[in-house]
Amino acid sequence: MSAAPQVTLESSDGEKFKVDKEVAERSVLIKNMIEDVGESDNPIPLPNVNASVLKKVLEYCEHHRGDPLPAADADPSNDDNRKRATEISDWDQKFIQVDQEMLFEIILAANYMDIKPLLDVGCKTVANMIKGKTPEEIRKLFNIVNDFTPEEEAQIKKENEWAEDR
Amino acid sequence: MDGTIDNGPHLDPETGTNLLTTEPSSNKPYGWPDSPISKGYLTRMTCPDDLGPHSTTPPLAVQRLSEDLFIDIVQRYVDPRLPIRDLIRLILVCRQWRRTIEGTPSLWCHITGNETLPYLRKGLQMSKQSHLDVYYHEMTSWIGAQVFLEEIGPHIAHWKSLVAVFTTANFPLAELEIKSAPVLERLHLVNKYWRRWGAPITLFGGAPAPPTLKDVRITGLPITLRPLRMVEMRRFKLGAHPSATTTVITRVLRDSPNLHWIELSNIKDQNDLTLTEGTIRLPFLKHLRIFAIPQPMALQILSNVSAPSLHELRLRLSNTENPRTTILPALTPLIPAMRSIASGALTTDLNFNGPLYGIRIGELGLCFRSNVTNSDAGELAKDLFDWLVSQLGGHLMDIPATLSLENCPASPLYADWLGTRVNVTKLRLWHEPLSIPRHPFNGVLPSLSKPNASSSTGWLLPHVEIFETNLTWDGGNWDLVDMIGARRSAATCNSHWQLDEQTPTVSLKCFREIQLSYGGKEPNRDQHPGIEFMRAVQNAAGDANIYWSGVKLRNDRM
Repeated sequence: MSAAPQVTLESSDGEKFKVDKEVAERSVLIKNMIEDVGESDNPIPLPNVNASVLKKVLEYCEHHRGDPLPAADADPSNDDNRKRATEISDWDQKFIQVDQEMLFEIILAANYMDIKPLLDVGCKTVANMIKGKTPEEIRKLFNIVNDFTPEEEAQIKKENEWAEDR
Repeated sequence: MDGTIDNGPHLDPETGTNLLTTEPSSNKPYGWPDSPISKGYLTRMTCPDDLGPHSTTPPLAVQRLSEDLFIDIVQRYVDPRLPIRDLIRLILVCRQWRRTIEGTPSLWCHITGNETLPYLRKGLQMSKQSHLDVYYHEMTSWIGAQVFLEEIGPHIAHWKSLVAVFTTANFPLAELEIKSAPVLERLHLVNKYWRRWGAPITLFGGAPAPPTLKDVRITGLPITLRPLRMVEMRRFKLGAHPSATTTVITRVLRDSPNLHWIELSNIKDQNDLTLTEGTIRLPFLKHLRIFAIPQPMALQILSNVSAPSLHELRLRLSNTENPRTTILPALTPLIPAMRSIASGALTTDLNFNGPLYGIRIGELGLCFRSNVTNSDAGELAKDLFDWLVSQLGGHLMDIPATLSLENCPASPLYADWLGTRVNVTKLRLWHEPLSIPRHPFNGVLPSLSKPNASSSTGWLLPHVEIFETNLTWDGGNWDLVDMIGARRSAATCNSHWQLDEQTPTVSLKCFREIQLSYGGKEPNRDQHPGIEFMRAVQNAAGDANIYWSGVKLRNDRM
């Protein structure tokens, strides 16, 4: 049995990862690059993803290597439905249990590498983190400084004073 | 912090977003094009205070997201039941979040009566020209229907969807009756109490529906369908319509060649005897469900529809005294599609519930309510099954089948007839505890307990491995215990049973799963039949797994 074709990916900090082409092609970006240029021994550069994030992304791609690839959404309502779904599979939940820094890096990498299911998992995770929290709790969660001036804050509250449950 | 914004050299003075773009890697390997850099990745959301020229702190993780990604997260965060409340929480977090959320009208497009009037007005104001998803449920709304419609009416040009569930046929549809909704894609109008119909309702001022309309559900409302001409409709669900005639419905179907889904239910008999002719070609139709509509209407539709892509057919009709001579021939044009549906089926379900009998083969379900007695319904069911086998193929007889007898005294002879034609691996006997007769299966249980000459295979339903019943009231049903024990003994002692030389050799199976429950509708539905009975079942059942109301019992012998 012949070995599965492989490609080499190069992270922004110069680390090289040799992976099965099938795994790498979970990324639409990489799939398109291979289709455009043809197979090559040269590493594929990923200047926006560092090694630790790329390693994590490839772990996801490896686990989901056999999954059907999402079709390009011709119907925007499919996209809406996808975004409304909040459930995350058990494996994905464990996979995404990382510190905030890594979580956002994974989202950025999934967006850049065009891996829609991974982007979904990341964005759903962040959305779920915010759910049910007050503005103050959200600030605390993400370490965001309240940069409203007292006047601005008073103004916003006045504009929305009818909104009892803030 | 004084509130002034120093954007620094790379930030958009209006939005504060980073305008930097990364230079392509100068040492990229030969043979690769410039790495495609997604705009979203590099146009990052930044907090000016963090990224200003005097800042030494790196941006916070969340603030490194592009605006597109941030909006994506907000869309997932917003609960469509209380969307404006959720958005208002977020705009109070920080300036950047406020600017982005308030500057993105599409985030405010969910308009619902579940929030109070100020929320509704805020949503309408902030959504600007975005297409709106409007949802109103009379039972959960804080706003009266009249007021809600008055508020959203002027925005009809932006309605992308309107889903309204209400409890009266006099629901004020207001602008929907007189104006066009040029971007409307989904229209669901559901009157829950559809037995009270009002006067006929015309939509869109009597003009055709907008060509954008793809998903239509009308339940319990006398909406005039004739002028609508829903040419791009994909999904059509019509229920409890007081005046739709066969002619009107077939015309709607003819006008909508792109239909994927049709469900027609509870339509009143209009005595419309007009015969419509000519095939209704629906090449994309995948789901066809027809429930409780007048038989002549069903005949007309079924005999005229051509649906080669059908994945699901459900048919449930009343007053079908002899479907073999009435409704089944009408299915002839659909037989190739039905054959295709049945070929992929993994299971068959045969259901008898009083005068209702039906067969479901995977996604193909045919169910009829007879006016005749239960025993005659059994004969009609034989006819139905034989017809299906003759049309769809003998393989149906080999598919594992569930036989469900509910609230109907069943003849052992009929069960035996089925046993010779269908591979019944699951048997379900169910009866409403307080209804008459109290013990309707007295004829069947003894027949299941011993071999007998009247059964052509020696044992009744010899392949049953899963047995489900609720016949456990009055402290348990000891006929059950006898039956379970007798079958187990026979199966263990003589796995290849032969009654005599004439009967075929049949391998009697032990029950491997026994599901017991009380199953009534009374408050004491989980009433246990008593430990003595359960012990007896366990002892009679040997190694079978036993469940009480879905909970598996410990498998130790008592």
